[in-house]
Amino acid sequence: MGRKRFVVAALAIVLLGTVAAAALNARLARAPVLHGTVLEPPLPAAEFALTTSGGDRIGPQHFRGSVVVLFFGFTNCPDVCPLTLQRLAGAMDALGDRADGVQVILVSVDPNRDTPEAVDAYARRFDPRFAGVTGTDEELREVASRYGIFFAANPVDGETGYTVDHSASTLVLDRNGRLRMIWPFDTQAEDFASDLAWLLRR
Amino acid sequence: VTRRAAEAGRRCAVLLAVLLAACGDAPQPPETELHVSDGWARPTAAPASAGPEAVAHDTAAAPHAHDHESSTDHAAPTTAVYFTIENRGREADVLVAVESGIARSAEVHQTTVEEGIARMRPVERLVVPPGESVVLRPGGYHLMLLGLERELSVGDRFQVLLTFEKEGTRTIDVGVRTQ
Repeated sequence: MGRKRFVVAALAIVLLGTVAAAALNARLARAPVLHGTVLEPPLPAAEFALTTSGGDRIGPQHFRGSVVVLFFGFTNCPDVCPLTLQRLAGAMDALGDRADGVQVILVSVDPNRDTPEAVDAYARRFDPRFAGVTGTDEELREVASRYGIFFAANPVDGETGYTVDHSASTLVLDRNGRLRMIWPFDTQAEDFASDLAWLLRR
Repeated sequence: VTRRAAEAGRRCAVLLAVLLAACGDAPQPPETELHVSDGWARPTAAPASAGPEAVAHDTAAAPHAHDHESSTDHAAPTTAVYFTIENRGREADVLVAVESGIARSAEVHQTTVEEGIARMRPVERLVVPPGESVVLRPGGYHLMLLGLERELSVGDRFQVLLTFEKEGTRTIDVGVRTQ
């Protein structure tokens, strides 16, 4: 008797699994190819107020309705930061008018060398619509911990004196201000663009 | 009989030695033969964004008032130079010093990205093994220029001096482009 019930239960589980897999397949077939890691459900994103040029304090909450892209770096970074920012700028160009719905914010995690003016000017070199912000070390630690970002100054030989190790991922907040996607380092401009287009449709 | 055999052996040995000597004179790769190619650097001047699709963009080439202001007030602190060194010689050579007339100083660095964390470290000696190429590229080895004397725009050209342990100093041409 118990055995018969077990078989029925096992069959039911297999059937349910098959149906679920078919449904998932159908969904995947409709879904666009995304290049970042999608957070499902999206996480609430921390508000912050960091300083940009002119002394204004801005954070993602000031750009509700836009897709907000956050990258943490520093202006003395010759390789990883310009590569990422240049590709984000390429994505903005590829999006055309739709790029108006995207706000890229560069957060400098090198407050000793980067003034708000310097980081903002640096970000705008890549695209005049970008913004650059920074803060005190304490403020930056708080923002970084809330977004799961690592950074640490590291003394090195040579003229640079120190370099800043930092997370190279790019974070994306949806139009409702929720953390929605994370792009790994070395994501291409066209991949940024197609993911942003998808986020802008939602 | 043994003496004749020994004599023949000696003659063979002499012949062999002569043949080997002849082989020694045959062309061989030189000790070091370096070929440096495809030197390029990132622009610092706006629009640094000019990708392939942005080049045709009307506004892309027009400097913005804001950017002009920023270029004087907040000169770009640095840029990266990339190139390929091919060693066609028999022995390894080592890049030991770099400099450029447009920068206060220059250093060879290596970027690594592991588990999502980017790190950059100076490289004292960049070894180019024989028969191999070392490629300086984004996300890997690069030459970092510090204290740039001027902004670099797409299409600009400048020179970099590379000093190798064996080959000595050579000058390479670097073109400014986005990738």
